[in-house]
Amino acid sequence: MLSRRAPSQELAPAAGFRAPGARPTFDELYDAHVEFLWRNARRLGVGDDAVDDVLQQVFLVVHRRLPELSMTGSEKAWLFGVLLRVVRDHRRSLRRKSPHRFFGATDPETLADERGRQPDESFARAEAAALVQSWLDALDDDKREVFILAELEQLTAREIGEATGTNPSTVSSRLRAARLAFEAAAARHRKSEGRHT
Amino acid sequence: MSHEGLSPETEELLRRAGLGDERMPVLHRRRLKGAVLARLAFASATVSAPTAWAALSLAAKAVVGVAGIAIVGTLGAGSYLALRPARHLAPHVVASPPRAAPVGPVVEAPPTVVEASVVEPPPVGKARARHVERHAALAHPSTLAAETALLRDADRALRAGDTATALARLDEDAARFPNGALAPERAGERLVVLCEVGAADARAVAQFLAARAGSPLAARVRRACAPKP
Repeated sequence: MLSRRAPSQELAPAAGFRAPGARPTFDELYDAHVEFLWRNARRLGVGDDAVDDVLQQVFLVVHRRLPELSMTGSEKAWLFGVLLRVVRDHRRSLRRKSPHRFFGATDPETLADERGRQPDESFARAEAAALVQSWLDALDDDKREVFILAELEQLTAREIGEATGTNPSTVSSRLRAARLAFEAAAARHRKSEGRHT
Repeated sequence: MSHEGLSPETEELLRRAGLGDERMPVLHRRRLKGAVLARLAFASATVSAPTAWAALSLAAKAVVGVAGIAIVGTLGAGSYLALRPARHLAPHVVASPPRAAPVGPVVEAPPTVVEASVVEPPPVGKARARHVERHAALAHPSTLAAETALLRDADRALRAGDTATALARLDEDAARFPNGALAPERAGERLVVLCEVGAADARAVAQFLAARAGSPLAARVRRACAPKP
């Protein structure tokens, strides 16, 4: 098992005091998951200049739809589903305004946490983060969403299906295709590195 | 979920990239929450009753106090879509007399009709300048309260039938806080005013509704701009 599990739940003190089965309040959801949503908005290609706008919209929707949150499902999956819909609307809006604009202007160097690292370590991480982000950007939207949830957020197939509104077999086939595309990009990169060394 | 399919080298690269380790700055989290709460409060104030504006003002002040900073500048270019119809607004429409005496605080007469230059969205390609402006605005802790006050005045004037004053307050807000936290609310309020006087640009209304589908703001614009029987 990989140890890349996303740490957002570590920042959820409020959720820790919630009675089992109790519906979370808006504040609890915000505090527990804003970082998860922020991180994934950027991974989904939302540019730094638009990420706050997208997140505000997400939380307005969350506030309105909180009564619909299923107590038996995954909060993360539900929130990611809301994020996906807002991000798709955002993409459509960008395409209408600037059809030729490249979607996503996230600075890859800001993707990895750099606190307490040595300069060479920071550089290596920033370089790796930039590569990963560029390969994510190259994936189709459907594949990228599934890949992020499975490989970076470690959600289960059922949770991913819940978040993306698809059935588990579609999740599996998209994940398989995404992994192949990602591996192909990684192989191209390794080959190119080999040529330069 | 099976992890078959990624090679050990790629797994290692993902680990090295540390994409699960990103931390959202605490200040950023607070600022964002403040903006969300302000917008929720605005939606509640305009949908329920004018008296709710008092609560919004308090909320704005409280948010500023908690965050220790102004809640501004968190919106993207999409917020400007609905400002466009003002360019097509005929002066005689803007200058139409009030239908009833205004309620609430006395507001000054608008100095001019809507000026295109005041409400003109920043040109495309000025994103960087907006970014700088947003961060510069963080130095002013009373920004959100001032924005709230201007929008409250505009809403009160609209409810009193004084559309000219409402537009003037919205222009003032746009000029002072072009990238303010309540920019979408300002855009929605402007469309409501323009629809009230029959001067809204249908394309701008459609763009706004498409960009904000499902929000309380969109519902309000939809109601105001629906064809009158």
